[in-house]
Amino acid sequence: MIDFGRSHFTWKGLPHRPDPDYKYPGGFVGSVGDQYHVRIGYDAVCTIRDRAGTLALEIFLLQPCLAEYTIAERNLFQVPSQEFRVAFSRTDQIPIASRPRGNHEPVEARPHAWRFEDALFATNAIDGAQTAGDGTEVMRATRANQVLNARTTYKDYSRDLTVTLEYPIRAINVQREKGQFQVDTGPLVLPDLETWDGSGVSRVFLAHAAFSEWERTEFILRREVEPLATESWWWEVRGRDRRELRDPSNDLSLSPLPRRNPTVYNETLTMTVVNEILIAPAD
Amino acid sequence: MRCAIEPELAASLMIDFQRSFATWTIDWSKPDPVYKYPGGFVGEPGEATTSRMQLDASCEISEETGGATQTLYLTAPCRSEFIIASENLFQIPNSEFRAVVNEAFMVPIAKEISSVSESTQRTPVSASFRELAIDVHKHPSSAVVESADGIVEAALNGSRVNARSAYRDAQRQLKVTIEYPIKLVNLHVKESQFQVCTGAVVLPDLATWDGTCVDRVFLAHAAFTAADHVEFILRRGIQLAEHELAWARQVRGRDRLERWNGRGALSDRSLPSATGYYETWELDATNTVSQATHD
Repeated sequence: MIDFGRSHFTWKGLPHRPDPDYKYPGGFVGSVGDQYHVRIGYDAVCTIRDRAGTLALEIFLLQPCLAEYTIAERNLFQVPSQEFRVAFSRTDQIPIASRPRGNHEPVEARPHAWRFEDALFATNAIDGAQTAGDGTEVMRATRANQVLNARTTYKDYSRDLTVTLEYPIRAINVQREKGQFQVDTGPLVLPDLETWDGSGVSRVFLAHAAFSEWERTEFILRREVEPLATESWWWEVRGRDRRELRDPSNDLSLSPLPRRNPTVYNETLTMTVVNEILIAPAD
Repeated sequence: MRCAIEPELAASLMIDFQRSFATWTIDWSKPDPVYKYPGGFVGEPGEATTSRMQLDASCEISEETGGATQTLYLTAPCRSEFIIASENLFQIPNSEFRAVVNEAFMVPIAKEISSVSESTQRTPVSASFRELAIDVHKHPSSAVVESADGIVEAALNGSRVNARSAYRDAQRQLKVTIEYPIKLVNLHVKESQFQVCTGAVVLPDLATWDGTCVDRVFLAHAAFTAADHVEFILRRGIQLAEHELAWARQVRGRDRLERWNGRGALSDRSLPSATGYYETWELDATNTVSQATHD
């Protein structure tokens, strides 16, 4: 059982080099040569195993923050704001989908080596955790305020792959008289197996999961959505401008920095799975 | 209603958010007079359901004159659902569910910027819940990190770290202290610099303080690089483009607004929307970082 409270990814960036176009690439406001570390907690972990049960890929969904200028004294947030959230394998950053599953997106994984001198995944486990045998144990642990994780496993038969998702249960409902429970929690990442190339994927979906049975899980997937044109604040720059150019006469209008849109959850996916609930020991 | 903070532990110990929960029970004793699935409940009248939500952050509001003090807790989010169902668990259109509660009140989260009044009102928890327990679990031992070098070291050695940011509203003579886990921190080891950038946190709309509590709160993220200054960026709603509404407002599966006498009325349905972060507050504050020392 992963201890999500004590599991982090820490990267050490490469020494900063000026961007040829932008004054504040990635929101960086330090000096040439500076090297930053960034520590981010895990939100969820996804593993993909091949037919032999060999671990083929681990994907770590990291916790989000809002776009910032690092490391600054004032004007710490970028406005317009957007979420910074990443899904990492041990070697690559895997793009998070902005479109529904049926839409192809021209995205690909980006090797950490391009950006990081060092990348450390520190995954800690909770000692003495047990798997719930039935709903009664889930209810007892919920009532006792024990920490719970879910582990959801499903198979992709066409590719002979087994996907396992582990994520903390941050919201759960129980109906004591009937012995029922319903997990409703997230976020987590689902790999887009349509992009599987034998060793990795080039897209993941951000999702929440809900289940009330051991063999069935529903996922709801996040996607971007265009705001109403009159919501002009969405594009409004305040303070330091992330898009400020080193040379204002440089015309980048043909290749502008991408700007993410707001998101909603809409598409649902119901899967036959094996759900487990992992219970941390009581204090 | 109870608020169980272990009394033997000093107030200065940091909150273990991973082990802290708000748990409430709703009695679905009578069918709703209008809707088949009030609150997404799909069981039988007379049943009760209990929901346990992890806590994401705390916010204490205190009158500096020694008057009232309220501590509010922000729960982790989930997606709007039908409870407890065997299929069609998510409501479509879907929205986020998050609560800001304490043992007495539930306080609405703003959808607008702070200068726009929404005329929202807090509600007593007894109006919604038969029982509510807020179990704030503290780490058995924790220590304030005194220096930037100490923060860098705590982050790099994998310690669990929380921040507390306290600021004053001099005009209203109110003090606000928020506590939240540091999920992301930037470090410049060579220069002993750090930048916390994390959330979600909850901030009170002090313009709605009436001597007892507030009637609105803001969901925000926090950032700071020094002990005496904090910046917040606040969430607000955003409307969707017309062409997105065609699919975004479409009901799929069970209809949350279905009435006993037929389909949900058009007038019941608010347009689906999204959220974004926009308004920033830059405040003089006292920021402290604590680390758990028992891991």
